[in-house]
Amino acid sequence: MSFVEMRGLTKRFDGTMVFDSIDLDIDQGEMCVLVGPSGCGKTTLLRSIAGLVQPDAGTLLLAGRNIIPLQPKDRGIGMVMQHYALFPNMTIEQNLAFGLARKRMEKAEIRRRVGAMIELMGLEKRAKARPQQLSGGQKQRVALARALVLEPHLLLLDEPMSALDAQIRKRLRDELKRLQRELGFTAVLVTHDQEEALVIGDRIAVMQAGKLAQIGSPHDIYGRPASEAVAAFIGDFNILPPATIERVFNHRPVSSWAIHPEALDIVDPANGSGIAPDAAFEATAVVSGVKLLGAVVRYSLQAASVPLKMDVLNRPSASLLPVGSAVRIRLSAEDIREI
Amino acid sequence: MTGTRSNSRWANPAWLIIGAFVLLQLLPVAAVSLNAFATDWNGTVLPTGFTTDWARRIFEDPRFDQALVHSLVIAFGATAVSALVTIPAILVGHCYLPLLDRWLGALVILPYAVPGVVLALGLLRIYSGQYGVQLNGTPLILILGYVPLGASFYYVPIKNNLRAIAVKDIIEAGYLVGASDLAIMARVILPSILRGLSIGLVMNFTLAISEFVYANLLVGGLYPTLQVFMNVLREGSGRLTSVVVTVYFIIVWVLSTAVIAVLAERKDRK
Amino acid sequence: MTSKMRALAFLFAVPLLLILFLFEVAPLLAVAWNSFQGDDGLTLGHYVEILSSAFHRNAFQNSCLISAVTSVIGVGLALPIANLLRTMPGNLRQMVLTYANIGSNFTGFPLAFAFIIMFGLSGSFTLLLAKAGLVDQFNIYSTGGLVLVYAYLQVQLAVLLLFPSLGALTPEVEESAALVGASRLAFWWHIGLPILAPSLVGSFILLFANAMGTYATAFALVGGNANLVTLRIGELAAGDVFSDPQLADALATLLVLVLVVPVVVEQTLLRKRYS
Repeated sequence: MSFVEMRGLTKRFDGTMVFDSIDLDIDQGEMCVLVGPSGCGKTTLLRSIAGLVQPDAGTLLLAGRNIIPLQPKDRGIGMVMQHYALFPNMTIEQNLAFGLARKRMEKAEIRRRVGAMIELMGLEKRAKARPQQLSGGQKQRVALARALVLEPHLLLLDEPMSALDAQIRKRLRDELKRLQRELGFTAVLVTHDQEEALVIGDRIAVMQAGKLAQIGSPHDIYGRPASEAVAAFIGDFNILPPATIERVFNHRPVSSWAIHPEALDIVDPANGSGIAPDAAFEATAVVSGVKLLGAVVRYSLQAASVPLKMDVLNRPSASLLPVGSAVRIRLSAEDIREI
Repeated sequence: MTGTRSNSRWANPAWLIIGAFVLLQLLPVAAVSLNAFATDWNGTVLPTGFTTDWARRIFEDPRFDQALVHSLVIAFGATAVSALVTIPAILVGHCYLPLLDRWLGALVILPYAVPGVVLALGLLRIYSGQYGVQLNGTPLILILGYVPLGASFYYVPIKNNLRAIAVKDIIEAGYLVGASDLAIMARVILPSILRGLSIGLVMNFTLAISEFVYANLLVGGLYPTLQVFMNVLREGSGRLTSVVVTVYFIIVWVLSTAVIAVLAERKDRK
Repeated sequence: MTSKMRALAFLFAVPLLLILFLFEVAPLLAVAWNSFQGDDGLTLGHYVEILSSAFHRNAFQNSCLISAVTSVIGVGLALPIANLLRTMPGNLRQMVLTYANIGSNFTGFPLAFAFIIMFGLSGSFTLLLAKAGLVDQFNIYSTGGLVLVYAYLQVQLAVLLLFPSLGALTPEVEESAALVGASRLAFWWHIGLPILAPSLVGSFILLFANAMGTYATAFALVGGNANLVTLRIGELAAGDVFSDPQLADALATLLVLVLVVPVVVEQTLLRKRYS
């Protein structure tokens, strides 16, 4: 039995289905990321786990205990909200101590725990400051500290980085991952940022319109999307229906293809194609656009009037293909994802 | 055990309490209206019979028509004048002149520290002709006098609206697309404060039509308003007074409901 | 902003400033000036007369007491109401707030009259309460009656004053508190009330000032029978029997002095809130 076990969780609101028959297992010490477009129900699902929302049906077990009938404060769950919701009338120390004081812990013990957590988060210099005086990144760390100081069984995070700018987001993402490894807590993180999901998650659950579309490791989700909807959300796939595939590659498969931009190769005219015809497909395309994305060059191609995206490593030695030039591209059969 | 708590509105104590509050607000109105149409209401919980006699008597009384017209003239006049005078000042203060803004903030609070009775005394001293200006006895003293009293009703809601939008950025954006200050005010800022403005208008109207101290002390019988008329009637029949009071309630209720409807519509449009 | 543009902008504020000066500041100065006028020039005689008179001191005590008590009732009842109002759908919320706007202006005769009908000697509610055995006799024409009517007005005004500041208590803050183990009581005691404290005190002060300055409602309800400062002022100024304009002005100035202190305190609290 898993550490966190959800079976058949369902919630309706005013007639609309928010989430439907959610089955999800999470192992202890695992970071599970709930990812999906806005409005797919992921935040409501998270709040159901916390006990802030009551599901209409289903079971939820945490460390073997059924927690559905329990109040939020009795579930042993900590939560970091999107806008942190720090207590504005208290200092950082007081914010952290508040929950421990509710547990009737001894003052000395509270001081010890709060001190240790502040040190762990690198907030020593701001310990006596109030939330209004902190930066976004500091507030996030305090919110995290406030949840972790209670040593919860499960930590929930609701889009914790969405209110921060890109630089800080990357840094805090890594810090969160490091903390999780160090302290070993189990976590569920909700985000709409697919890059964040891939980087931070041990297991990813893609949610679409209230249902779980796919659960798996980042590699699974990215490499083998289960449906067109998942493919459209994660990664920057070229999604081609059978008729279009015929126009481009002269081959008509049964189902649609999802092709990673990086799966397309440029054929070196000197080498030609010494590969068996089934193992790869080739097409001629015209370069319609070039975008430098840092380590990767994104070419926009037109093959038989079909727009394609192709990613190539930005090797300093290689020169960029000029716009308007024709290029022969190859797609290996094993890189095709059928959906 | 899964399942939700009952979503029924009537089971929710919050709705009961708010409902009770609204009932409380309506109770005085109901009481007076009942009295206005009662044949006899003495020693019983509810009137024993109903009649429109009292109402008819009041409507046929020329003094009532006069008082009604006077009240409406003053109420609309005061609302219009105060709006025209106060709103530009608030906007200009918030957007361009911070020193003025601070002073305005203090000045509009002044009527709380200086009650109407006190100001009425002062107005009596100054505008009764001793200094060549005879405003007392005319509706003008009321229309102008009500402006400071109602200024805070514009100031607070409009400032709230203004703080919610990034005024400096908006003005600069306006400049960059070639708009004049006046155009920016009229086309962008003013629409943003319509909610606060509406609240101010309603409250100023209600103030003007509910005010008694100035109306009685400074003008009295020379330009009687509904409130003064009520005072005159109270010597006599309570039923007649109730009719006038009910008319007063209806006017204010109609206006406020109209404003609610307008505000609600704007909210939906957002 | 050029100084020319600034001057032009200032022009838009001139009409208001003019009216504020002519109809708010000038009358106040006139009253204060007149209060020092005696038969032989400037004198403090009127103030001496007031402060040495038990009757007038009593008027201030009564006014302050009624104002303080009804302000506490106002804030005390309005806080839970405003808090519950937050959970209401927007349209209903707007309606209740607008009616509270109107309700706090229903002063003077209309309100006094309504309460007399309901709570007068043979009023409906008086009868109901008597039948229920709760109250023997309720005299609306008394201090108790004043407290009832004032409280009615104060609660509505308090709801309007308090409601905006409740925005600081977001659902997320309440949920965070619940998640770290705080009961509703603990939340309010440690977080909710401390956050609202400046607003509660500020509202109380405005309510106090509002009640102290109430004239029409008191006059309509009890005539000259209650000993309140505003009623005494009205009496002395009206010019019927007890006419003594300078004494009225002195009373008025004293009233302003009593009110200026709390209002200034409230303003400084406001500055702190917005900083």
